[in-house]
Amino acid sequence: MQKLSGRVYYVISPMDDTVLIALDVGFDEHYVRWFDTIKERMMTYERIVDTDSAHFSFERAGDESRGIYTFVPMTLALYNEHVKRHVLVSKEFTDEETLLREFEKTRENAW
Amino acid sequence: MLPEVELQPGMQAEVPKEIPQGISSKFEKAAFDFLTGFKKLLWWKKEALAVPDKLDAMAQSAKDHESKAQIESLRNEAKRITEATLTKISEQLGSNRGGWYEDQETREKYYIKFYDNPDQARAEFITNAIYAKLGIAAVQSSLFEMDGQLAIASREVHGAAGTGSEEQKGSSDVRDGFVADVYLANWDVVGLVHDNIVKGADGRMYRIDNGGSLIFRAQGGSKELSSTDIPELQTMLREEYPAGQVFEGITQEQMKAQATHVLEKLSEKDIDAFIKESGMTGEVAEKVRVGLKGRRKILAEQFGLAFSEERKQMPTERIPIALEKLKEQFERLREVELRPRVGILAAGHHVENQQVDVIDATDEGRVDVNFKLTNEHWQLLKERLAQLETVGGVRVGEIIYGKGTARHTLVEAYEIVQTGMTVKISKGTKKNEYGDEKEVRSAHGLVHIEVQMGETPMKPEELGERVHKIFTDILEIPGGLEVPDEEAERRYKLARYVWFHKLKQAPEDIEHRLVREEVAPGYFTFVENGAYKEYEAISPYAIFHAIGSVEAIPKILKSGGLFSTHERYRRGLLASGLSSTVDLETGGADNVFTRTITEVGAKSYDPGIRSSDAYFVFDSDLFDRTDWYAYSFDNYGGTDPAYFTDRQSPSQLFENQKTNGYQDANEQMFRNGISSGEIRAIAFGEGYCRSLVRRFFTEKGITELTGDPVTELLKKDTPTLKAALEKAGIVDIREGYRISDLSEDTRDRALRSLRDAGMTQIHGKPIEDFLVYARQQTDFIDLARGQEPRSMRPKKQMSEEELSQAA
Repeated sequence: MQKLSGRVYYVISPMDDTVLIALDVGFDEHYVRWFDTIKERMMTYERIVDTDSAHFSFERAGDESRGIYTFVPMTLALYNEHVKRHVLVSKEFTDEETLLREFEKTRENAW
Repeated sequence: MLPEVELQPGMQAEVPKEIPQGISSKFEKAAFDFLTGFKKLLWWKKEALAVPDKLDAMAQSAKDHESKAQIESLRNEAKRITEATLTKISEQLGSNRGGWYEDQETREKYYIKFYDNPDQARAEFITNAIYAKLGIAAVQSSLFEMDGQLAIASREVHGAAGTGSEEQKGSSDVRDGFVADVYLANWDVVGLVHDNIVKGADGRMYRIDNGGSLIFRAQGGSKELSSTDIPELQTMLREEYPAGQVFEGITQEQMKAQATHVLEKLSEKDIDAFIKESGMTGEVAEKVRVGLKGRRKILAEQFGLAFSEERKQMPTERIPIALEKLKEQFERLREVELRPRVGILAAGHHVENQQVDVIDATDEGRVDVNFKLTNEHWQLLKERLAQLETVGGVRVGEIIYGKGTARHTLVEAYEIVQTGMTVKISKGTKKNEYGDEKEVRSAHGLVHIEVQMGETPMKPEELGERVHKIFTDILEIPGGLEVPDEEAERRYKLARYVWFHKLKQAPEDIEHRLVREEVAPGYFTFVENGAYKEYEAISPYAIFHAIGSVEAIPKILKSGGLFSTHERYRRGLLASGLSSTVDLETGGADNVFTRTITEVGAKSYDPGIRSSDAYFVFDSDLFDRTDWYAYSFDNYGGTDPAYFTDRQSPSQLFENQKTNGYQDANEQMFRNGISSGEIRAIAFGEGYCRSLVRRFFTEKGITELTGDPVTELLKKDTPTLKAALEKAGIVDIREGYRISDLSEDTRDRALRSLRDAGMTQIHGKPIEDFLVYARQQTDFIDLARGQEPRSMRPKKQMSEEELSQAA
């Protein structure tokens, strides 16, 4: 399992609105796997489009196919623009480190 | 030589000094006296048997010859007294091993019998206990272990004499027990030559050999104890059978009177208690339980009798009782910041799962009543509320979860405000930032009643009245908070079975296979007991759940299990505000997610376990629940009707893995939660260095290190293992790897967090035994069966490939 180096990713998928945030992103020869602040996600891929840790993307396979999924490292700007309104309790952040740490804390509450 | 006598766990209870209330008849009192006397006897015997062991120990430590001789003499005396207590006085009678024994102190005689299948002894015990409860003269029996086997001891009927057909036919003791005999399926009650009923010195006629009852035949074979029919009401009257000759001419009125007696004297609680006391467990116990409970209902139907259920709570009592029960949870849940919740069974036809939950939100001055309506009723109600909104009395507000500053607006809702309480009925949608309505599937059907408890809280009785009135008047649920009647429960069971197995129609009488059980703290659902064995027959399997953070393990165990997102949020736990709300929108938030690996699927593929991974591995009987659904790939547990119809039934899950191989992104969604009692093991990936140590021990043939067996040492945390290796002077484990390279791993962190939380055992097992290493997901199948993971079993030599896999 190859792990991406980013701490938190913003996930974009034009055809799948069940994705938003990703931590602990990794992939092997079949699957891409991550933790989405609630639970473990795992998807079979048809092909890895881009393996760059700063812009990882894959095309989902076969029956599951819902197009391309792209992982972009989370930034304050991305959070404010695309993510803030989709989290449980929207918070304001002034620096990125606090933001990332807050996302990482979601692991502790994933029952 | 007297066989060793050990007490059964249930017999070690203190012998009651007073006759419990409720024992009134002369016969019941006699039964009580017998049982207490017999328990005392066994207790003394156990004490006596312990003496020789104690003396042996003393003899070993005695220094001088005289002391040793005295101890030896005492030992022989103790042995003689023990052996003299129960003496065998005759060989076996009948088809099962056993014989007559005499108590040398009391001179009481017991017929002690051993069955090849110990459950037959338990069944006979249950039957005799039921006869006693019904006041029907039968032999009094007790269970205990003898020669390492379960034995049933029946006290002699004093002055017993054989009787014939005519005498039995004329006896009210015999004939008044006919319905009880058929109810218990005691086919052999009379005996082939009328020898199973004897006449005692007191003139009463006793049923003395009842081993051919319930699910057993007299010779030991099994038989069906139907829960939907009592064919014995006809078959046991056939004149070609001895029973038919004895019970000939019994009238319908006499049977009805006897059936009334059975229903009045024997409750469902009694049945549960007798089964428990017998020690019968698992599928066998369930067969007997379902059979006996079902047959009570059949008796009521056959003779047109009102079915005497346990006393029903009045609808207005439900909430006050729930409020009392909430208090029991305060202490336990304070630490995990989860609000106490109590589920009550109510509103049979219009409430999902027939369950209404009462949540203690007094930290915010409230009590919440929270539940979901069935879809049909919710749609109907929404239409009415939309009309009312236009004329006033109803306004649109929101259902908001959370506490303090951490709050989340879940969904828009119709609100009806009354003095001290607000009733909120979900609209099922929420507007997004562009003003478009977005579905919130986890809030479909949701009703949330907030009761302000303020400085002068409502009296529980008043609260009970008012909530009941909300159910009947606002939510239009006839019967309100009444316990669902049998018909409502039956219909719900059928609907559940059809939904769960994706059938068009429920098989006949299938409702009797479903039993309502508490499967997560305060959450009840229908369980198809033993269904998991049918799935295992297709392929052995394991159900597991990836743990997000090992530091959360103590919290999960202390709160009683894994809870769905929705369950945690409605109980105020929004600790991590930055979690995504997506699963609330798709409907997945109502569930706990698991994955399943089957042996047959894993033949083609096993993805292995990373050293940083941690998993809960569940008991396979988790699949007995009927409130879960599955997908073969990551579908986020969504319930959108567009794809919900494609979900898998249990048989489809197994079939799919058989055909297409194991897909490790498969998912199963269990409603509300999974009890921590279902966790069979917690599995962790093993680090490379640690796997080298394991290999090092095997290759070098080291079985013990610094006085400890290495099997035990390998269960210890890494610092302890490292210290033991260093103490033994071991420096290198393999070229390039030194003991100093061993570092703390995920399992170590989990052990530490459990210890920090004051937990040293899980389900009675030391945590070191419960937290195990595994290398591949098929190991979970072994763990689910209580076996050592296959990949961790000692091997002579691991190949380079295996080692690199472990890495």
